[in-house]
Amino acid sequence: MNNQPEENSSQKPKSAIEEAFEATQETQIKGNGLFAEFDAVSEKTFKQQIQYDLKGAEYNESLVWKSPEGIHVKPFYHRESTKVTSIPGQPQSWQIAEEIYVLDVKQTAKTAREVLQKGAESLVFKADAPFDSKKLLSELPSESFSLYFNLSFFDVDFMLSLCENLKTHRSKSHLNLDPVGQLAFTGNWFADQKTDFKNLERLFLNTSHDNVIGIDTTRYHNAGATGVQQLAYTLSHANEYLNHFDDHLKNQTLTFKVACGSNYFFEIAKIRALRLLYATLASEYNLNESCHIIAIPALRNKTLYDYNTNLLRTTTEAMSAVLGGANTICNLAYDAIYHKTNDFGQRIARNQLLILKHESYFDQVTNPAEGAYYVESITAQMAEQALALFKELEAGGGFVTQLIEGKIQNKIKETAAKEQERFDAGEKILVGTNKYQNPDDNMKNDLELYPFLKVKPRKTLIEPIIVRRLSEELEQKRLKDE
Amino acid sequence: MSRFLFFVLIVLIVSCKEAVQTATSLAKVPEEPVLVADQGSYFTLDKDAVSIYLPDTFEKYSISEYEYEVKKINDSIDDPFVSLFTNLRDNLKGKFYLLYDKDNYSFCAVNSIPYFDFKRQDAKYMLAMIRKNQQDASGPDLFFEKQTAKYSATDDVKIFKAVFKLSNFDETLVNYRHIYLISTRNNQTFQFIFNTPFEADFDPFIRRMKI
Repeated sequence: MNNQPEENSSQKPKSAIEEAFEATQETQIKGNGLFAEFDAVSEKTFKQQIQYDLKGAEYNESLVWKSPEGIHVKPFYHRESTKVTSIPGQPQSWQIAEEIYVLDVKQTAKTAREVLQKGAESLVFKADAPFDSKKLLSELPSESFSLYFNLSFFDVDFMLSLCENLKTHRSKSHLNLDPVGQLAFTGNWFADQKTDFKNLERLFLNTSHDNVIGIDTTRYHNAGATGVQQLAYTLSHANEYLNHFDDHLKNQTLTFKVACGSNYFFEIAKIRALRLLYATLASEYNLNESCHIIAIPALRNKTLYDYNTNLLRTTTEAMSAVLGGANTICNLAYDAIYHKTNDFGQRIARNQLLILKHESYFDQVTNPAEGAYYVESITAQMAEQALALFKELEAGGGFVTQLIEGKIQNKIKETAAKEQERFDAGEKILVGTNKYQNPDDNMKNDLELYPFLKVKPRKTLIEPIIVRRLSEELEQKRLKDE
Repeated sequence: MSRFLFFVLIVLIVSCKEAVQTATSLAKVPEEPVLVADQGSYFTLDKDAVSIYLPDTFEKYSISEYEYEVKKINDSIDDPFVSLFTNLRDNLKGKFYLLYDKDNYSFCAVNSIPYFDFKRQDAKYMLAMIRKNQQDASGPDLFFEKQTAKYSATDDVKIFKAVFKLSNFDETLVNYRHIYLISTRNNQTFQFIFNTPFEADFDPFIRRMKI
């Protein structure tokens, strides 16, 4: 121990330290949480600081960008101007689906068992002709999983038999019948409008299946429609069924098949806006406001060259789908556009989702985007603009009328052409294709499928909505030059 | 400010690594002592020509002396504060002094650090940084609760003080950490870290410091 206290400090003039302790400037720093240590900053203050830091540059020109939908994206979003919207029907969790083409029932059942064992939680059966559904279902495992059907035909007797067979199976199933989609995307009804709708009615009357209609909206995206257009057309598309079958739809849940692109936040907002808009529409008909959404990565931005980049694209697209609130995600294999379905591609596609779910914990939070100012803002703007466009479509006679008049096709073609121009000018970038190309990348000898738009002349009732990838022209040129 | 941030990061990340283990040993104190300002002594920080005033029970230690002292109590556990002191001594520019109260399992670590002029507006951010680093480094088992934080200043002296209560979930282990930063007109900055297993007020002691 060193020195003893020298003397009572009160008898001496105060030291500088003592004076500081007693200083009138003393500030008690309040609050216990981290954020309590900071003053709240208003939106106005934020903006003022940004404008100050811009040193004279114009705020709107420098920092606000406009999406192809016409939505202005600000550099920051604030609680003061954000309205948090509760989205109806957000799922508690999401499922991993895998598509299987039904050709030979026995082989299909074997594949189905394998993919379920490898982590898939739902199956999408794609078929171009009726098959022995009783045999297929009987050979599937007995545990519960979801089944989706993606049928390019509408055979009502087959459907009735399928519904009957499904009763004996524990799976939750979605028939995904969509005659209006058939018209939009092939140019023809399955038979004709009257017959198709009559067949649908037969199904409603003769089965207790509660997921008959499934609206395929992926082609709007893949043909080049903007997010707002996709939403408006989807809503108008759904409204055709609601108008005709509102009484039969009382116990039904509509399924929407949605494509997700790589505009990350906008795709999250798109799915949320879809739920919001559908709930608004369904409430007008006193129907179930919740819908079921199955999401798949878009084809529009997938590329032949530097094909591994497709893995990165599909990963962010699946993430958007999860965060937006899709019930089920069915991934697209990285080589889907040029290879036949193969084990490796399917395994990687499945594992992407398994990693998101089990290693990245994307299934741990329900409705994670709720309350995020940016996502809430673009969700509201997309929904508002889509609702306005929907009203225009309805005022113009509705979806089918607008299709027959070719107006929807023309609008999509316009926006697709603009997007193509941006791609050709290098403003819209697909890495490995129109930027950072690998000149040594040769694909000519690796094509098992024709990866471009196929032209097959046939007579159609209307001009169909044509799906086309952005990079097709460029890839065709590169293939020629190889 | 960046210098301060660097300082805070170094100190606190190390200090909190094994805080639970430390709290276990410090919690052995049977009764809560009362620190009386009149029962103190001056310690001259030779290299900085400054005298600090601390309770009588504190004594000057080197790190190795401290290590020897704690090993006498329990040589099966490496005392986590040894690495804290080593880091304070080796990684901060300036002098390091250690004073230890073996009766009350408390210490006072003093560093003279490069002069750092902070203002009232900085205090909030300093506290936030300290707090966040404490929490980040402590892990989920230890909870840092701010007891008080103050800034006071005259033209000659600026003082920042923060006291945190460190406790585990059921509060069976409790420590108090007092952090003082004092900058003087002589372009000197001192940082004091007191760690005690009981509530204490070191203000009366700091007030008597001679600069």
